[in-house]
Amino acid sequence: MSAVPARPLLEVRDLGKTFETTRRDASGGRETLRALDGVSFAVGRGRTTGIVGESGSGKSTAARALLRLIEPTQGSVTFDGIDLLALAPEPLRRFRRRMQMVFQDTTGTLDPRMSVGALIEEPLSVHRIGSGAERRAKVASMLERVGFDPAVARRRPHEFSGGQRQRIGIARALALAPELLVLDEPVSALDVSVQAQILNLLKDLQAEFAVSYVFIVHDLHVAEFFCDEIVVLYLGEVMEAGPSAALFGAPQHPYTASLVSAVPTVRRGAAPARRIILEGEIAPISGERPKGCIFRPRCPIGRDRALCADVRPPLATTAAGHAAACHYPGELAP
Amino acid sequence: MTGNVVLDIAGLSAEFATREGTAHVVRDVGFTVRAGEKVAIVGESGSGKSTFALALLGLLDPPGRIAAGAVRLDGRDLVGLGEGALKRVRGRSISLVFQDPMGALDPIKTIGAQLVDTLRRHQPGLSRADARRRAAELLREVEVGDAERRLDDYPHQYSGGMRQRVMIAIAIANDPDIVVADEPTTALDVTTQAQILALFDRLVARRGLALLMITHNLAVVANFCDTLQVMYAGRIVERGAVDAVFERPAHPYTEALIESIPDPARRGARLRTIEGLPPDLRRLPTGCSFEPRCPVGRGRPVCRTVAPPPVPLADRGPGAFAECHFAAERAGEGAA
Amino acid sequence: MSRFLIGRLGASLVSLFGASLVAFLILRLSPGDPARLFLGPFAGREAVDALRVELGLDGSLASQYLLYIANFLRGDWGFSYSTGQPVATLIARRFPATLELGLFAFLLAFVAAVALALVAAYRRGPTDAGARAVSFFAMGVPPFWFGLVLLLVFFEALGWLPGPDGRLSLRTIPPPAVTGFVTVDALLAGDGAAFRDALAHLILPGVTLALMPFSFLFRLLRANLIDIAREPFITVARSRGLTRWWAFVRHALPNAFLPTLTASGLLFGQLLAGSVLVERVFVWPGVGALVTDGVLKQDFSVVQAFILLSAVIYVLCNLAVDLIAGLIDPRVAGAAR
Repeated sequence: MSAVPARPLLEVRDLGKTFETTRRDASGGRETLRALDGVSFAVGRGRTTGIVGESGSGKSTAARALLRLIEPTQGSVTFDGIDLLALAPEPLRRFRRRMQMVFQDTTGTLDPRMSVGALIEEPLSVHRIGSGAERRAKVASMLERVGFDPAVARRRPHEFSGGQRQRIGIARALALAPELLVLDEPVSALDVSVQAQILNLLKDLQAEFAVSYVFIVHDLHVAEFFCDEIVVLYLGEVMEAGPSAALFGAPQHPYTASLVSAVPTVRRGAAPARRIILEGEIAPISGERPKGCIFRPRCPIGRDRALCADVRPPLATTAAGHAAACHYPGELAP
Repeated sequence: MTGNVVLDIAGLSAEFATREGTAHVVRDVGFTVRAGEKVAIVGESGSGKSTFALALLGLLDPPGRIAAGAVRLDGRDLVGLGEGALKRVRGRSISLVFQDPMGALDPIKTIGAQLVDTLRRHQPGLSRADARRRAAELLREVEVGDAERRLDDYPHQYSGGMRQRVMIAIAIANDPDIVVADEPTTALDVTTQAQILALFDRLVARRGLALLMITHNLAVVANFCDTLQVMYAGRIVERGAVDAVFERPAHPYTEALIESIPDPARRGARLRTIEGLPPDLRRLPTGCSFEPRCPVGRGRPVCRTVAPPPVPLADRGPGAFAECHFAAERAGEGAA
Repeated sequence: MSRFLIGRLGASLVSLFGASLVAFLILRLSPGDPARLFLGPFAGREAVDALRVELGLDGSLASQYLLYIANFLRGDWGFSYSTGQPVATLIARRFPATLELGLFAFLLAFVAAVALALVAAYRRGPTDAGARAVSFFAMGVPPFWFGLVLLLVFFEALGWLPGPDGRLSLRTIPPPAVTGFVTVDALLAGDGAAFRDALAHLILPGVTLALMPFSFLFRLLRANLIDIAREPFITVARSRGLTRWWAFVRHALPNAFLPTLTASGLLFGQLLAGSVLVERVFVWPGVGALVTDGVLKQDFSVVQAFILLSAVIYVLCNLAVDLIAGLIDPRVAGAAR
């Protein structure tokens, strides 16, 4: 991906994750569920890579696998030249201060019994950073930075609205001054006017701290508006990847084209000329993967083509920094 | 293409008793919906839109209650009717589609049982066998494949999109005049959302029913509905034809909402936000309830002291108005 | 379904093993030599030794345990030292009385709990507060004391119901025993007077014994009902044309009932334990009275048999309850397939 500067902060190569299910297959072994298969992408310093896809596309699994919150079953993750998957538990634990995560569900991820100040201070004390006074000063400055009076440090998460709790989550994640922030649907549960506040804040913080974002998102408007690069996942495979403007402006993969076409937009003039409505729903595949294209059963152009049924399309470059895993890229335009 | 007035709501107010006083959650809402029309109510969380939906069907339970107003369905006022009378209306003349969490269908009864029950409740003459045949037809109408067999499945055996189709089948089972859909696609993926909206479109066209969609998603409304109504702090603050309102919102709140949606054409620009929080519905300001957050009226004496009356905007569709002291000039700005 | 079944059966067997071990050790660790106890202080040493061999008391602890289990399964539950009769015969003779009382109490508790929980969760407010007060009282009051109060009021003072004279009045001629349940046998014999008398005798001990399970069932069912009443499908049911009450009865109750059913297996333990005291108060000729006698007279083989039998009943009830819940709940049944 040439749009990314020479040496990206994060490089993910051929990442795979297979889960064992409780179900048994015909031969009596456990059926496996491949949640991620051969996922590769990069994140430049100070830039944002968006991972988009429907529920079940594997985007949250990808976020957790690249942070080793779940162990990938194949591939490599290189962070600033360091092979993350080779790190032993203790070095990995120390390494974690360089990469943090922000979650969608602020109710479940902020301990309701802890004060806001204690919540933001916790990662600092876990990593033994600064004296008590220094840590409290850091908490106050982080609270101010996300738009609070430092006095709110004594209050508890339930006293805040959803948008305010998300700002607390962001302050907590940024307290360690990480180089990478993985944002898992950080604005999905918020009202649109509050979502705008959070997106503005994230943009400001990125400029100020030069932090890189991996942005997991299902809302394509947010993805296109906010991200520099986009990776489109379907059933754990990359369908298309490229610079945001090019990918949404001229989608090469029929899945991306269908997604773009399905998204309602407030600008009537910008509405697609014809609406592509996919049939069926995303359904996880357990056991053996089909040998052809994973998207073929729902594909408007490939469903009846022999090539699509027999050969898995590789992720091939279609333009500078833009790649699609399709035998007929660009054929279906929204 | 639109027909008779199906639903005529006048001066509807709903409130909740709380320890700190009465919360005025729905305040003096009135509008009409005609057969074949797709009308939207858009609001953020806490705007009162879901309470309004429940109040329409008489489903508001204590501590909530309807404080005033009328809900005339085919000319008959539902407000004040008891459960005995309401049960003959709900599911027959007016029905409800909920946001699909797993919870909208009874988890321990089959899909067929829930459909058959809905049919036979309002058509007592229908035999079990006939009701089952009708149920399968309904599933086919909402495009559930293999309908006969799937009648015997339980809700957990259906996917999210399929469950929402079942909800719609239940809602249209007795050929109602109006369907109220509360966030019907919010829990669904975008490709499934497109399928469900297309299905609604076909049903409205084929059956001539009226649809009242309640949602937070302006984009869905822009692409799908005829008339947009924006709710803020329990009141409809603006109403008009979808195109006209999106073209030139007359209420500053509507404008701020539309502009806070990320627009890829303005990548890198800062998004419009709305400062502050909605008012406490137990202590509403005497003037305009949006005034403290309003980029146009904040601090203006008229906005602070006088609640703005609805300003009719006749050229923006039937019943169009905006509750803003500056609505007329704002709506006219572009036309001039 | 089969793996679900095997898992539950396995768990039951483990429980039974534990219970049998406890019952066995109680007798082994109790003071005194069973053979000596049985034959009395004046029997000769040879006779005692001979009986020890006959009873298998000379073997290792493990072989004694195996012998004990084998005997139990064969229906040989030992001899009662105080009466000289086989324990199995004693228990078999008295068990129907206990079972009849237990089932009657369970029925009372169940009906009262369902009705009260339904009304309390439906109406909330003062009705709910009142119902909770009743359940709180039922949970807190000691059954033997409450039984005595009931006797004072309804027998002594008012004279509406019979006193503590067993299952039938002395005047009433018992119906021919078929099932062992006097009420059922009276009906089978077409003896209306005996049936009324038997039923009247059941009421006071039944109510006393029902207190605990009623309170347990009520609290569980009420909490579940209130949770489920908030589920969207209840509102959806009403939007389909059910009244609020019928949405409660048709949709909230069955869903609230499932977790209640699973937990109610525990009730049979409470019922058996409760019957020991309640039978004493009402002079009910059941197993409970036999056991209190056994404890007082150090007749441990009776106590031991009762412990093991209770464990078997308790485990079987829990197993049945789990299997029924598995059959009713499509989600459990589906997951188990």
